[in-house]
Amino acid sequence: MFIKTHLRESLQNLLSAKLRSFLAILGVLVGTASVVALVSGGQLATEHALAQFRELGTDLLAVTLQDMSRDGSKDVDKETESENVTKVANHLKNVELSAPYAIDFSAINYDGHQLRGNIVGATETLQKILKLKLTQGRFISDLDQKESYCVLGDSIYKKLVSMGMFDVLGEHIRIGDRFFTVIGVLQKTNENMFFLVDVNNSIVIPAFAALALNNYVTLNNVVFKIKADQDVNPIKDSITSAFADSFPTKKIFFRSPQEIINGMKKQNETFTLLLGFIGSIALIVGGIGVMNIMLVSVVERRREIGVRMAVGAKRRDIQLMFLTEAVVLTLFGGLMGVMTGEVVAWMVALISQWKFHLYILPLIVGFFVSALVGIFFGFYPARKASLLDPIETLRSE
Amino acid sequence: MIELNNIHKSYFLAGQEEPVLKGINFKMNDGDMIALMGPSGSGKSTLMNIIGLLDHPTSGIYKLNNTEIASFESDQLAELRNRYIGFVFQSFFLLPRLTALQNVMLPLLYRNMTREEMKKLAMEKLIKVGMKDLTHHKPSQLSGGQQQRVAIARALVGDPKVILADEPTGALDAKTSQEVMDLLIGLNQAEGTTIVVVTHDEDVASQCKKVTRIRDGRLI
Repeated sequence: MFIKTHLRESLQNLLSAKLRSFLAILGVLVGTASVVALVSGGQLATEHALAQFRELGTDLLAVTLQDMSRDGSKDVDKETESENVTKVANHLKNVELSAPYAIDFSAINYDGHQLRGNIVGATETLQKILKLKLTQGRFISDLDQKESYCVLGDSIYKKLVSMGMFDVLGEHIRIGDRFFTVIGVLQKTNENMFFLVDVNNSIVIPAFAALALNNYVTLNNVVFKIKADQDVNPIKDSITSAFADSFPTKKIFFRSPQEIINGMKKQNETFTLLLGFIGSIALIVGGIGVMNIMLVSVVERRREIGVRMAVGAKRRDIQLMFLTEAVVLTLFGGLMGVMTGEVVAWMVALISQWKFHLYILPLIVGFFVSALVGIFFGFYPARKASLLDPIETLRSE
Repeated sequence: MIELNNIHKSYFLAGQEEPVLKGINFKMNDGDMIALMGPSGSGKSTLMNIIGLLDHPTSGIYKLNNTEIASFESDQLAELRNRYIGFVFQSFFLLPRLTALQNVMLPLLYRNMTREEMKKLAMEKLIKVGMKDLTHHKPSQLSGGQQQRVAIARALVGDPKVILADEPTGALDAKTSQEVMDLLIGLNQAEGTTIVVVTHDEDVASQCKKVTRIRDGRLI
């Protein structure tokens, strides 16, 4: 008997009991749909998160030096130490730019009002690395040295405007016990997780001015822009060894988009596996549903099985007939499930405003797994049918 | 030609041997038309199943065209049934989803044939049994007599040597019964098809060339 004949027969049999066939595949449909939707959705979510990181630039590497021996380090001259950081940072291989910076939280005052905000002591390279743009004036320059100049972040600027400071350039703001002259205003930027504070809510002053501002402040943070297409790990190693020589008492902490992306990818794999596993449970339940319906069908079609055997069907013909029906059922369920799953993933993407991609892998996997489910769960009913005794089934009522 | 020598058949119920056929000797020549009669429980259904290769005898020799087939596997028996034997049942046993034509094609599905060949052969037999105009009707749209005609066409479609008809008129009224009998007799006379009819009806039996009676597992 040709496989084509089997297919034709099984289609005819299934179509003659449409409601039952639909109920039988419902489980497989839901199962496949959940596998496809969960896996696709998970991938879309990760892709969305990764895209956000790529926007910030994958070429950043943030380094923080933390003093592990608080008592001893005070002997070292702060300025020399800070110059060392700059020097070491400037002599690293595969690094395009480096921007050492200091963070301080001294009080900010304008016209008797206190403002909340961070003080960032920076060099002019920070502008390039963080891609900062100015709406007015200019950024800090290395020529500013310890000058009392400051550049305002967007939120700070808006607060000052609301306090009545309209023409900001040239105005004076008190930071700690010194007055700083406003020389520029920054455009609003997205928060960068590789920079310790929110630039919008900061006032940027020259690095050495920051050191003079407060005794505890040191230039202990550096943002690097590494050269394009460079792996971050060797650079990290060279930074570690360079700083270990100059600052044996300091511990070094790294943060880089590459690391986070790799971590996320790994996490995503685990996550996808988990989601796929959850979906598979639904698929297995669906397969059991198919087996159930097929078993009922075998019982109901005992007479037919007997007649077919009497007219010359071999046991394997009967087995193949029921197996084909089960596989056709689940394949159809799988196909509809894959489509439903993709539609669900698309809707989730639409609602969450993620970018939608059609992932091929979940489609193929969902489809083939449902076919396998059909073979697996169709086998037992088919085998049972093929082992029926024709005499038994043909006995008159 | 089918020859049965000293056929015994026992069923084992809860370890207890229950003999049903007790040494049947039976010979059927090509072109025979035999009525097999006997009360219920006499073993005539069992004998029919053995002749029809649906069941194995417990002991004895079954020769089909002088070939001993007792040792055949179930797949080989299926193939022999397909080629040599056509079944007609009391309650027709047509598949309800299929049309008359598709029902007649059923035995041919288990041969390597193209669909066109199958259709052609099935049409021929439907014409032969006088069902030319109802080939695309489903069994539920046909009368009992018409259904039995379709069933006979199905039995004929593979050009079998023997047609085994198990109470073919049992579910039909007198008039339709006679039509079905006329059809079988006509086939036997015109084509020389060997026919075995199991029946309770003396009237049906009297129309056959030969009547064999079975009682308590033995032919008399």
